[in-house]
Amino acid sequence: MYYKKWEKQTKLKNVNREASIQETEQQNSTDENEEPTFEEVMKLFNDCDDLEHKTFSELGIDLIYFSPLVDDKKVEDEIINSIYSSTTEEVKSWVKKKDIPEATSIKDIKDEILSGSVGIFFENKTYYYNVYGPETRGIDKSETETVIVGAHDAFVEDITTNLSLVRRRVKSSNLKAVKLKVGEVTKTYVYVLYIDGIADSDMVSEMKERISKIEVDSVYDTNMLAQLIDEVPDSLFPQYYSTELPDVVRSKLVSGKMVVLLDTSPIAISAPSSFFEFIQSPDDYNQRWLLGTGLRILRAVAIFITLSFTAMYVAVITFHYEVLPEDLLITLAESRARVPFPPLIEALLMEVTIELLREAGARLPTKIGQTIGIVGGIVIGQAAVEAGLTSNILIIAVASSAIASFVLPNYNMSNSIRIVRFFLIILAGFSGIFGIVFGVALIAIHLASLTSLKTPYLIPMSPFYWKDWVDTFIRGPYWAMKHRPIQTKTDNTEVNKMKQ
Amino acid sequence: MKEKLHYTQIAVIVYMIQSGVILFALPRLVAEAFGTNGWLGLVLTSGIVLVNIFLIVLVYNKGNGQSIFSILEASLPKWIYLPFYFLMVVNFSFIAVLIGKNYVLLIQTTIFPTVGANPFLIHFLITALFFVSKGIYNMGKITLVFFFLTIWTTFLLLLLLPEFSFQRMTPFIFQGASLSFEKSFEVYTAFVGFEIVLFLFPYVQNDRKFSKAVIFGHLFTTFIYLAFCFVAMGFYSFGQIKNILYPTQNLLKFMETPLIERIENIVFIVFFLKIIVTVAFYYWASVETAKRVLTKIKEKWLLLMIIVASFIFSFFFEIQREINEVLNIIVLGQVIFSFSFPVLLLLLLWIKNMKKKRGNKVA
Repeated sequence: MYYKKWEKQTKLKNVNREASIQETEQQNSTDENEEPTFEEVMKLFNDCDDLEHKTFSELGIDLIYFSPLVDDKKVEDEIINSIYSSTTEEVKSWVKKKDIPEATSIKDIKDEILSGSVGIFFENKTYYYNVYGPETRGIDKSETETVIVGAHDAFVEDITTNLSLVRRRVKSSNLKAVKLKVGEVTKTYVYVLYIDGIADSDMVSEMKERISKIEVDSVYDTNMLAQLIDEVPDSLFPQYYSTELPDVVRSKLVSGKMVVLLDTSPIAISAPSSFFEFIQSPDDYNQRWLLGTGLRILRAVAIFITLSFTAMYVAVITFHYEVLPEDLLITLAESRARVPFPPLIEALLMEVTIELLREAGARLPTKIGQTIGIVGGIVIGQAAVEAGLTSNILIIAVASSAIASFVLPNYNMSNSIRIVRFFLIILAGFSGIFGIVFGVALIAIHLASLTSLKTPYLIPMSPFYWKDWVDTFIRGPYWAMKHRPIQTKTDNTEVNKMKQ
Repeated sequence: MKEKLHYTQIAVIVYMIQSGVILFALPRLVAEAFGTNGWLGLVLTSGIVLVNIFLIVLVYNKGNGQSIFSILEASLPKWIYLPFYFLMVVNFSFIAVLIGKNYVLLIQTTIFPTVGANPFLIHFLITALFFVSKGIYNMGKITLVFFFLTIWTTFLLLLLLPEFSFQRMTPFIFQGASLSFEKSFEVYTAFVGFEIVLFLFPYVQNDRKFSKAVIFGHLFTTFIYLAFCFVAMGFYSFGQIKNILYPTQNLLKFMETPLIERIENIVFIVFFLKIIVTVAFYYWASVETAKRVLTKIKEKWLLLMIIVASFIFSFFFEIQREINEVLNIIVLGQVIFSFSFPVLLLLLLWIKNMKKKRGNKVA
C-alpha cells in the first residue's frame, strides 16, 4: 500500500516536474531569442542593489556590472577612461578595435554579467567586456594534507587560480579542461581535466555525462559533487580520491586519470580511484623508494591497528582470555580489577570520548584546541584510570588506534575507517573474535563489490594485476614503474610515451 | 567489453572452495587411511581428482564454453532434467548449510562452549547472503580478497620447522594403512568442491587458460595439504597422530609468541573466511540451478528462500556426529555427481555432434 502511495506521489511529482521544465524551457527560449535591450536587462536584475549602473548620457552609453565580481581597476582603466573623453565615433571604433563581442540574446548578456563582464548598451546594441577579478584568497599551504618533502602550494577557492596551478605543472596542449555547469540555481562551473591521448575517452564521456545529469539546486563542494556522481552513494567509503594538492593532481593526470575541479572549492577529485590510493602520499614519491615503501607499509599497519586494537581488546577480555600469555594476563587483570563495566561499554565510552575530543579540537580555534588536548589528555590518561572507570591497557589501545587513524593521509578515508572501527568493536563485544572476522568479511565483501567509475575499487589486489603492485603497498623504484595503472583502461600503457 | 572471470580468480576460487575445515583433521585422516608417510597418499588422491578435472575441462572444450544447462536442455526432455535440477538445488544447498553448521559447531565446542551454535550459523548465513547477492563477478573478487586475508595462516608452519624431525617420518611407506574405502573416501572429500567450476563456464574468459587455472588451483590445494601433512608427520609420531582428532589445531597450539598464545583459536576463526567461500559458491550453484526452473522469481528472493529453507533443514542436526554422517552421505552423492555428470554431458555433446554430422551429410 505504501508502495502504491509512493508510486502515485512520484508520478504526480514527475508530472509537475515536467510542467515546470517545460515552463523553464519556454522562458529560456524567449531569453535565447529575444534581442537584449537595456530596459529588459535592468528588469532582470531588479532589486540587485550591488549592480552598478553608469550612464554617459551625452554618448548614449549605459554600463552595468556587478561590482563584487569585477576588477575595479580594470573597469576604470580599460572602459571608463576609454569612453570618458571620447566622441560617439570614437566609441564606435573603440568597440570594434577592442574586439568587444556583441550579445545576441538576453540570456547571453545575463550570463556574461553574472560571470564578471561589464554590459555595454550603445546605439540599441549590447556589448560585453570581461573584467572578472573578484578578491580571492592567496595560494597557501594545505591544512589537511601536509607534505614534508615536496611542493607546498595548495588549491584555493578560485577556479582560475586552481586551473593556473595545474597548467603551470602540465605544459601540454593535450591537457584538456572541459567546462560544465552544475546547480540549477547557482550554475557553478565545473572543469573536467584530462590528458588527451592518455585518459580513456569512454571514461571521460561517462564523467561528463554524469556531471551534466546532476539535478540539484546547488553543489557546495567537490566532495558533494563526488557523492552525486558515484555508483554507491550509501557506501561509507569515498569512491573518488580527493586532494588539495596540485602536485597530486598532476600525478593523477599523467597516470591517465581524470580530475574534476569545482569553482568555489579548494578540493579536486580524481577518478577512477582505488582503495590503495588512499594510503599514498606525495611524500612517498619524493623520498628514496625504500623509505617510501616503508611509509606505505606503516600506513597499512595503521589501518590494521585502527580497526583492530580496541576491538581485539574487547574480544579478548570478554571471550578469549586464553589467547594471552600468562604474564600479560596478570597485568591486564590487575588493571581491570576495579572497572565496573563490561569491556564493551568501557571501550565504547573511551572511544566516544576520544571522538568528542577530536571533533572539539577540529572545530575550535587553534589556541583553545590545544587546551582541549591537554584537558582531554588528563581526563583520559589519568583521571579515568584513577577513578576506576577504565583500565590502563584500554587507554593504550584506544589512544594508539586513534593515533593510527590520523596516519592516513586522506581525511575522508580516515573518517570512514574510524566509523568502521565502532562497528567492529560492537561485534567484538557480542561474539568475540568471531564477530570481528564476521565484520571484516562484511566489509571485505562490500569493498570488493564497490566500483569507482565502473572499475573495481580493490584493483590491483582483486582483480589481481601483479604489474600494478609496484605502486600500491610498495612504492617501487622508478625504473620498475613502467606502466600506467590498469584501472585507467588507457591504451597508452607505457610511461614516458606520448601518442600524438 | 563484458565482464568475465579472470583466470587467477578461477584458480583462487578452486583453491578456496576445496580447502576448508578438513585441513585441521587431514593429517590424521591421511595417517589412518594410508599409514606411515601417508602424505604420499595425498598425491595419489590428488591424481584421481585431476582425472575428474580433466573430464570437466573436456566438457568445457567440447561444448565451446556453453553453460551446462543449455547442453542438458538442448538434448534432454523436460521431465528428465527438471527432477534432476531439483535434486541439484537440494543437494547443493544442504551441502552448503551443513558445511557451515559443521564449522560453527567446531567453533562453538572449542571456543564458545556455553552458547548455542545457531546464532553463529545465522552470522554465517547472513554473510553468505550478502556474498552471493553481489553476483558471480563480484564473488570472484571477494574470493580473492578472502584469499589474501587467510593465506598468511600457511606461513605459520614455518614457526614449527625447528621442531620438525625426519626421524618421525620413518623410512616405511604406507605401513599400518587401513586401506578401507571409508577412510580413503574421507581423504578424497578434502578435495571436493572443484566441481562448482562446471557452473562457471558462461562466466569465464573464453581462452585456453581456463583449464590451466582449474588445474593450478587444484595443485595449489594439494601443495597446501601436502605441506601441512608433511609437517604434521614430522612433528608427531605415527602412533600419536592417529590419536589426535585435529592434529593441525594441536600443531598451532604449540606455537607461542610473547603477545599471543593459542594461535589456533584465532586461525580457527579466520577460517571463517575460507569456509564462507565454499558455502557461498554452493549456494550460488543452487540458485543458478533454481533459476532455470523458477524463472519468474527474482534471483535475490530465490537466494533468500534457499538459505532460509536450508537453515530450517539444519535444525534437524544438532550434534557434530549427526552432521558428519549426513554430510558423508551427501558428499558421496556429490562425488558421484562430479564424476558422472561430466560424462553424461560429454555423451550428450557427442550425440548432438553425431546428429549434426548426419544432418549435414543428408543435406
